[in-house]
Amino acid sequence: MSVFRVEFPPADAPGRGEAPAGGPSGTPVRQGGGPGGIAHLVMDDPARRVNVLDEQALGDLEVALGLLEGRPDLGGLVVRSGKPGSFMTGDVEALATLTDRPQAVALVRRAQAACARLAALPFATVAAIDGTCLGAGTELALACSSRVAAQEPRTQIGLPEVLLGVIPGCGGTTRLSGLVGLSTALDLILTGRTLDARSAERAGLVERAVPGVWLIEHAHRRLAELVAPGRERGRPVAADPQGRRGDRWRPRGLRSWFMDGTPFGRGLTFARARAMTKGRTGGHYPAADAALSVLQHGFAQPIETSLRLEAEWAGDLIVGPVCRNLVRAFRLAERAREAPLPGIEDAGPVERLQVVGAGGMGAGIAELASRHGIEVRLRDTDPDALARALRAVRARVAERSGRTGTARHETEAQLARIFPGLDLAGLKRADLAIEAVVEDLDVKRRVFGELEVRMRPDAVLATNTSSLSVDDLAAGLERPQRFVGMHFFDPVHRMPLVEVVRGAKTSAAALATAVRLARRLGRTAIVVNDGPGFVVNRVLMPCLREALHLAEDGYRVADVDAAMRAFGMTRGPFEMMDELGLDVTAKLVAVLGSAFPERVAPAPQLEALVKEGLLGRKSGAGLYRTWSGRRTLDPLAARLLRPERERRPASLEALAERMTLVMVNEAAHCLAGGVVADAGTLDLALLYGAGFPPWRGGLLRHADALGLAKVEARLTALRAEKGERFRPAPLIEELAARGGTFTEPASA
Amino acid sequence: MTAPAVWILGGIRTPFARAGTALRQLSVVELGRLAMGELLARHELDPARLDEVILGNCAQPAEAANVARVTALRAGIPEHVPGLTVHRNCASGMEAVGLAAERIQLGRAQLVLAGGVESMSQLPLLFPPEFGGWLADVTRARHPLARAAAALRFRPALLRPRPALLEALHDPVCGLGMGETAELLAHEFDLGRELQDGFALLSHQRAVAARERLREEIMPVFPPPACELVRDDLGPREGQTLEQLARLRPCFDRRNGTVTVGNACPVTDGAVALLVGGEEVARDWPGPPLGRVRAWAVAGLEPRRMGLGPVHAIARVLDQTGLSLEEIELFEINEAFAVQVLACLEAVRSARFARAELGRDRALGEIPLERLNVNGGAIALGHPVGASGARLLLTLLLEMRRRGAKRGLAALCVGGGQGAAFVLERDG
Repeated sequence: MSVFRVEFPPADAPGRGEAPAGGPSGTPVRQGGGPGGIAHLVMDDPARRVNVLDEQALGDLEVALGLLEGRPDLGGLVVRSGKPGSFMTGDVEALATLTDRPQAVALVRRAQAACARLAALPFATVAAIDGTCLGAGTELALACSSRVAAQEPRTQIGLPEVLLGVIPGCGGTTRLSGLVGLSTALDLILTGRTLDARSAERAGLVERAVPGVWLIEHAHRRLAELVAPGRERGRPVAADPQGRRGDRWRPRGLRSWFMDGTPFGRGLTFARARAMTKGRTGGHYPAADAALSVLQHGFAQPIETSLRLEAEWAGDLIVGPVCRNLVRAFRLAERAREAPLPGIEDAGPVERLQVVGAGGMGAGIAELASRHGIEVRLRDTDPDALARALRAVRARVAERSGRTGTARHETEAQLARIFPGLDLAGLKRADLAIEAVVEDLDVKRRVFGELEVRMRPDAVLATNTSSLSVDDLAAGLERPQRFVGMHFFDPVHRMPLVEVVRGAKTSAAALATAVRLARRLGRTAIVVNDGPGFVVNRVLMPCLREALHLAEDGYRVADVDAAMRAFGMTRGPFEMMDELGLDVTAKLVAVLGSAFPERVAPAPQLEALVKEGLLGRKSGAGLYRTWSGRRTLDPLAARLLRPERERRPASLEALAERMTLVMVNEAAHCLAGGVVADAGTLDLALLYGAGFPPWRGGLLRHADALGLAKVEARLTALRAEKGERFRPAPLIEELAARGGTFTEPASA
Repeated sequence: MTAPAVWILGGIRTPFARAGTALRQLSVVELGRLAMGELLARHELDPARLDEVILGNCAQPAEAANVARVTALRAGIPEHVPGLTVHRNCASGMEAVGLAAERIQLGRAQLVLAGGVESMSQLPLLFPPEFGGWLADVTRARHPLARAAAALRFRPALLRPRPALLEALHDPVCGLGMGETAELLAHEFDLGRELQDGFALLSHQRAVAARERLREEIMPVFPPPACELVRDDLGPREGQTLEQLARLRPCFDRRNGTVTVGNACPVTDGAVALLVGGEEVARDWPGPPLGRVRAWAVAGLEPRRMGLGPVHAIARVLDQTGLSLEEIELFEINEAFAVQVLACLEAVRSARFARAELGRDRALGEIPLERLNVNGGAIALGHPVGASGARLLLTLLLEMRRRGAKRGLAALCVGGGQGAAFVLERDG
């Protein structure tokens, strides 16, 4: 069955009969299949949940266009979806599979040609957008004379291609600026952000946002407007049966006239966008530069020139490594968000949450849960801790509402969902209790002992521990099967990852409840088995320890950090220690050191610093200190970390290599030990939990890109030079020996 | 025929704080939500079981006119549970409980959350109605000249603010402020300044001594902006002396007055929430209920003598129940003004008053001071007008439990010339 079909709605359709009386022109739109009637181009892929413009759909579109081109007598065309909640999206699958550049360019050109044919139809066309309209879907809509959109939460319109490492290739990059102006076009294409119907109307992307039930009616009214004689900018315009008078950008205000409408202003706009892009991507994301280039060189050129540029660039990007890696990261996240889990259908939703311990994590979890409509009781026996937590929550909520313009009644409702308390009143009604008290086995066990006797038997107990073993914590419990780890990362409101830790006795139901809660909180949940450091810290700590080894070897702290930032990490290892807290880092290094003494050495420097009260950013004093705007090493940290004989690295890459290789090695041990299900999960965990650069596609993808034989060889060389911690993991040796990889060809 | 029993199953309140102090940033809704949420939590009660939420509130803010409904939804009470706000001035909190009791007796409800809430800090400043008139004239004028003419009729007096608090404490019928009605009672019963100050001192001393006991009814709150713990009423002053009270100047009648801020109750923020249930609910209740509503009554009198309201209401409940004052072990009479409570005590024991005003041939009896307001009263604790009625019931029931008392009476005077009274019972 075809994805695109042409329909001729009968004269009394849809629903409300004729085009609304009193339409702007007063001329009723004739319907039905006869001359002057209106046709609908309906998109409905019978094989999928959402419409995707893949190669087969493109073929169907071409057939439908052929049919429409043969009917120049038609009065107009409405492009709409027959699927609730989905207009049309681009084909992510194709991005992942296309490896041949000419083939990629040919496909892009073909899609462009189809859009051009849609734009050239001899009658007016209106896209009626309802549901997600992303990438190619938006480009299809851009080829119409005008657009209307359903003002419903499900409607999302945008060109997110750049987030996947490509540019809008079906004419989107070329056509958008003509509709919304240069500044807005640059903003939408370079950030890849999506708009709801109202914002799209304000940006000029759609002509009008209307309630969903009246969408088709308004599309018809818009068709009538397009062909009718009317007035434009005060001057009368003749009737235009061909509907060539589509929506076009008009300057709104002096600023937009200058910045988008004059050559000098446009130059400024480009310069600004270029500077911003550079700052944001650090030169690692070629798609943004490509989009800028197409817009700059294609602007005010014949449309064909610009389209050719678009296709050439898109071809380069599609077969490039960054696109492939970003698509992989995207699909991993998608999988983690939607992956079915045994028992998740039966797992009850968490409507009431008990948080025990009002430290930074407790406050963060309370704020997050209350924001997502969950009633939270926040218990701490120390009233001052509660006061600090409540102030932090209020500050966070105020900051968010200031940034996003959340309505006052919503922020008030959010704050009203948090009940602070010095006792555990109301615990029987909680569906899940999460503990976030100090990282001390006895203290935590006492808390769970207290919780277990008072909670409902079907309620779930969770720990937010980062360094203790879930099984150890569950040991004293009467029902260890309802015990699960939920490791949120600090700061909770910014970190998108939650490690849901399965203990030896954790039941499927408890695990599913925790995963479902994490997803409801807008977090990506990955399931890991209990083990020291779970997965993110397990892989990260050897890297941080290696950074200390480098310092011991004589390299400067700033160089080590610069090396990892150049590699693409959001932060260098020492900056990460400050962020995590030096005490937490020291503790985690110790935990991993006792579990894997051959790979993680103790870190006496860190413990000495902690003893001196340098705890990192949270205490205002860490390795780095900011003195009147300049960042320097803390004097004490400098004394402990600065070697007698300073060494300059031959290259930053050499430093980064040591730190990334220990991570790869540890990840291989993790994978072999069954901590996570597959390489994809591990990569996602580090992308979201440790700031691994998405354009590298993940840690293990990075190792595969290097080649495992080379990884093994380098590890062996380093082992000879630096010691046993570089001894290649058996899994690496095995894969290297048979020429295998971590990530191919499995779905991961 | 005896009416079905109505039980008060549990209750909690926020600390009370003088307006403009610790709780001033909490709106009425927020205060009420705290009390409701804590009450539900302490009883581990599924709020879907509630049949209704009834709250007393006097100020009824414009942004949440039906305070009970908004508060209930904010406290996580499901949408199918209706909410009703009631207003009987100072007796609003009592009215809420009385109404809940009647619903239960009629069989229309089994479990009701009733209480009272007031934020006197957040009473607004009002513009005079003439300002609204001027604004309407200006916006309605069609022609620019007409509009200019209308605008020119502006007078600065139009902007003179009227504090809603003062308006609320002023009786529009008799034209007197509440404090002035109290002065009238001082004249009528010949109650001097020393007597009044002495009574106020007693209130403070008792409240200070009862601090630990009162924590049973008070929940800890963490009010913004500092979010620091408040767990006691802020009103009771330790080390309060007669001399300090005597130094204060009369504030309603500067020349001959006797009522000062020291022997009157302060304007206060606070909320009270009680669970009121029928026989069936009480039978299955996990813990022992606090007590039973034996009877309640409201009475009206001249607005200018509103302070005597309790006497009229007490006479009515005694008539209803056939009880005499001797059979009642513990009393709570709200201390709007020291002189007003003292006047009530005089009136109760006066045969002349009984004959002239109550149509009885004998005096009502005696309310001994040592069994009245034993944990202090509104002069020390504060009087959040919409909430006090419910507070009296809660305080009384908890003290009856402590003493093993079987019967208690709570009453208060109501601005505008009314009184309300409850007789509560426990099985010892």
